Amino acid sequence: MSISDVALTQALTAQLSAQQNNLDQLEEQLSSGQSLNLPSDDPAAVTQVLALSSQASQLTSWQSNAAAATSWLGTANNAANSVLDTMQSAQTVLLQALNQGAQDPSTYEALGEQLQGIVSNLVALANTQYEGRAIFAGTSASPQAFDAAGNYLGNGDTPRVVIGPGSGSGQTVDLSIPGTALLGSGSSSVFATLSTAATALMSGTPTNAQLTAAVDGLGSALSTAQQASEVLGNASQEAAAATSSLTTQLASIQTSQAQLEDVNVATTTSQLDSELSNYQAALWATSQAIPETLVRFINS
Amino acid sequence: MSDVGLAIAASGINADTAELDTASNNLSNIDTPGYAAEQVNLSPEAAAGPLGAGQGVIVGSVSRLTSAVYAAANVAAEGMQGAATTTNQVMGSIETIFPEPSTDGIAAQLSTLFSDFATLAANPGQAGSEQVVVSEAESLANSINNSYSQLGQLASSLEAQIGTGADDGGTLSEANSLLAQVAQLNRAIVAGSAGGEDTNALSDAASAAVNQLAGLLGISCSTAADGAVSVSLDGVQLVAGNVAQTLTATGSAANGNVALVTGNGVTVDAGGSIGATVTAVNTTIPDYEAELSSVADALATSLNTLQADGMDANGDPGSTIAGGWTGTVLPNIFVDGGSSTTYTPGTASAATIAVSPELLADPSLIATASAPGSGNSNVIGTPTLDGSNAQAMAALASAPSGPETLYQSMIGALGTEAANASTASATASDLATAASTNLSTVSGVDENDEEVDVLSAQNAFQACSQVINAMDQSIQSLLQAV
Repeated sequence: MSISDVALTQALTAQLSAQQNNLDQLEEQLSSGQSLNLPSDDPAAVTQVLALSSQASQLTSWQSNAAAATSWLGTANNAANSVLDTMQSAQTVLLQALNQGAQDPSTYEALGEQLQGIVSNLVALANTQYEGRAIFAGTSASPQAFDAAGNYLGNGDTPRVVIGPGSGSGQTVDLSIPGTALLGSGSSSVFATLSTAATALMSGTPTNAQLTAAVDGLGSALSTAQQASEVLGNASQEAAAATSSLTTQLASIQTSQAQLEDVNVATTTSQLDSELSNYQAALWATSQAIPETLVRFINS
Repeated sequence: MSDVGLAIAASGINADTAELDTASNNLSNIDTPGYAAEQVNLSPEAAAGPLGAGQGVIVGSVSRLTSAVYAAANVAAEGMQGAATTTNQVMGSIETIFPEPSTDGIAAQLSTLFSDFATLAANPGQAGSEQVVVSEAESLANSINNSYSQLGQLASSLEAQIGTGADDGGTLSEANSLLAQVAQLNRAIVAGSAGGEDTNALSDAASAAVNQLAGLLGISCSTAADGAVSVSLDGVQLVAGNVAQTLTATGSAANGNVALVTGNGVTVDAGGSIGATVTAVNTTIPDYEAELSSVADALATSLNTLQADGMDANGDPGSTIAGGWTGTVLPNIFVDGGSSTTYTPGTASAATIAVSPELLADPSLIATASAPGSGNSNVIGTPTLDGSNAQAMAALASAPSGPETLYQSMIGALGTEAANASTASATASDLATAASTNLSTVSGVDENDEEVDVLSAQNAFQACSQVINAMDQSIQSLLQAV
């Protein structure tokens, strides 16, 4: 069988260009730092990487939602604690009025003024804002949760954000609670109770019944506010737990993504190295094989 | 010793000259495509001389060394290689339109859009977040439009590459001129061999043309006893004797119905690079256009449905819940085609998907809030900072048949098809190399073989010359002796 020159040349060039392709691919991987540059580089891995990136992006947005929830709830918790403190100081005032027995009208008036001050403090606390939004106004667009008289301006919906996968739009955490859950509503609201008591004190001659009713009303308002504060605390814990679990999940997703996508520099470099020596060997073989013919041999 | 002896030596010189001529022709054509090595057919002179010794050598024909089996296998392999290489190139071009995974590809933009919705859900009514969502939606729509139009451009450039078959520089016109060339060569071969001429060079040219045709069209061929080559494709004879058909491309890439039709109006199913290009233009590219459109459809219809069923932060209702509302009714998020208000799904919707102009002008018209209903106290016309509808929009990111999932599986399928095309191309090229190596073991020129032939012919030539010289001297000395 004769080995024709055409066949030899074809075989050598095919070999050389195949090796050059391998070199190109390795060099591209090294220079881009990515082992996946086109879908065909590894279709299964590419699909996985796309799914992982999409998951990572979702996790990141849940993470930032959880962070926002933590800030919201932090503000809400502070406000709720201040509300509790303020209500306790109102209680002190009322008990003072009740326990000291009959007093000078001017003393009652002074206590009444103190109580009025407390009411406006409570209104201010109830209107606490976070990033321009009244946190106790529910999902209402109203910039204030309560007016000066203590009437609720918001709605009864709880603002929420999604912090994880789940049914519907996903697992949510409450950002706050509607103001009425903290401060009561209508005639049973802490504002109504304290304003009524303040009016009675300001008259200078509050009856014992009026004061007792105010103390009782305030007592139940305090327990409502305490419950609300616990709800906020629980939500706060939920957001913190979500943040840490999301961080862990995100890290693990990013790790698997990097494993699929990033070039292992050590492996790729040594691959490149061995491909280079193969290529040089093939080049050498080509340079030797083509000129070595009978004519050359006889003439030399 | 007689004149006969001189004549015998002269026949040897003749034969050696023919050997040297053939070897030099073989060496000259060592790299000529389609060239088959030639061999001088020698036979001893049959008639015995006066003393019973032979009368020298007869130079018969000079024949082409070829194998019908290897040649046919080579033609078939060339056709497959042409098709596989072209398919691989087309898939490579489609892949570069979707260079995933990347940080700015459609997949990344889809993820960004949905996480922008999540941010908006946490900050409903905030102008900045609304603007971010609308801008991202717009740039995503642009990217989808771009990818679709690049697919279309690829199809029309491939269509232009084939050409119409007329003399327009396309591959089909190249194939037509090769077909005509084979027919012309057939005429010359038949005429030449009838006249006893050497037609080897004509056969070489015909074989080169057929190999090229094989790469272009994936033809099959056979050689008749008179040396004429017939070429057929898909059961239709394209070259019969000295008659060649002319192929014309009908239909258009835009309609996905490019077809090759013979002069007799018969549609043929081609292989080779032209056949692969036709398949790419008619099937492969339209398939990816349709898949991209289904991603666009999933994106637009799911978001538009939620948009129509919600309210914006100002309390403006979407079209589904608007009822008799006389104020602002929310526009669709995505629109397409000639319409500035509606979106119609279809196989070409990716070409024209766009953010509605009304929403672009006023990003606050995104339905972040849910429709009034149980679980909320939303009221149409009353501003609300409920973000639950935007949450539902963000949740489309992980929807089982949502746009992200569809796009991911499209990229997976594209990657698999491209990787397969690349493997198929490598295999076809190996097979073609093997087939041409097989053929070249018969037809190829081996420089060393030729060199040996040259040396032996040279030696024999010198020997015969020596014989003539010896006879001449003998006759001379005889003449002097007389």
